[in-house]
Amino acid sequence: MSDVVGAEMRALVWTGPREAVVQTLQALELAAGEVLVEVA
Amino acid sequence: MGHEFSGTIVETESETACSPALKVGMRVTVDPMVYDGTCLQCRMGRQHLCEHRNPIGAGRPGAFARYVAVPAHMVFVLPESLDLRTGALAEPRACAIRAASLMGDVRGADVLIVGAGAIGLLAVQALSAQGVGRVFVSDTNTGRLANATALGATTLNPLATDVVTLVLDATDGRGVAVSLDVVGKAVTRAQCVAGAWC
Repeated sequence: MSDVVGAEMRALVWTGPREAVVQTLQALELAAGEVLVEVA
Repeated sequence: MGHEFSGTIVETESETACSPALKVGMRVTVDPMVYDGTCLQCRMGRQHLCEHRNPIGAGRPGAFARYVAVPAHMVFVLPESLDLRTGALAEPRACAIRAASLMGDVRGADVLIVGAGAIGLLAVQALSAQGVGRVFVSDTNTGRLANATALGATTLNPLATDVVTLVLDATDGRGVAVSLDVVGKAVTRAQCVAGAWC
């Protein structure tokens, strides 16, 4: 797991409902050929 | 939701072979209509009709979040001269330019745009750049109409007047050469047809 995803997961574990954690992790998991963009 | 955005690359999947030029820290925007590139429509150059399209913000998680995972082939690097706020307008701007390009040579011709939201206002700019004549813009929101006026459009409010009657009167009964519905309701489509020269 990347640092970016790990940090996001730790934040959600403390602040968000379980569904949000799962959905966010799925959204952040990079598949082959993908990049992760921090939204402006 | 969240298909129009810009941002900064913070991570690349290790096998991002299709766009090796993409690096962490690059400022980018995206084409949200993610296509597979292998189906018949894609092979025919009609990626927007991809049989397996999976749009960001519809089929995939969108940009109403801090991070978004995006296939590298849908990412476009912004030029240094373009700020991120403006870069987020690339996709809706492309929609407006595409619509304007489909109209053909409309130099000097009057046009009607029903709807003064983001797409409508961008269409005003795109059509003005093509040298159209008068641009009539209809909307019920006075704030949006003020924005259209600032862009040089002649504004009409259907809550206060009959849009089709005014357009026909202003064009000697002929109607505009081209009309554009950027609302998508039956009533707005009907206004576009009734106000156009057919």
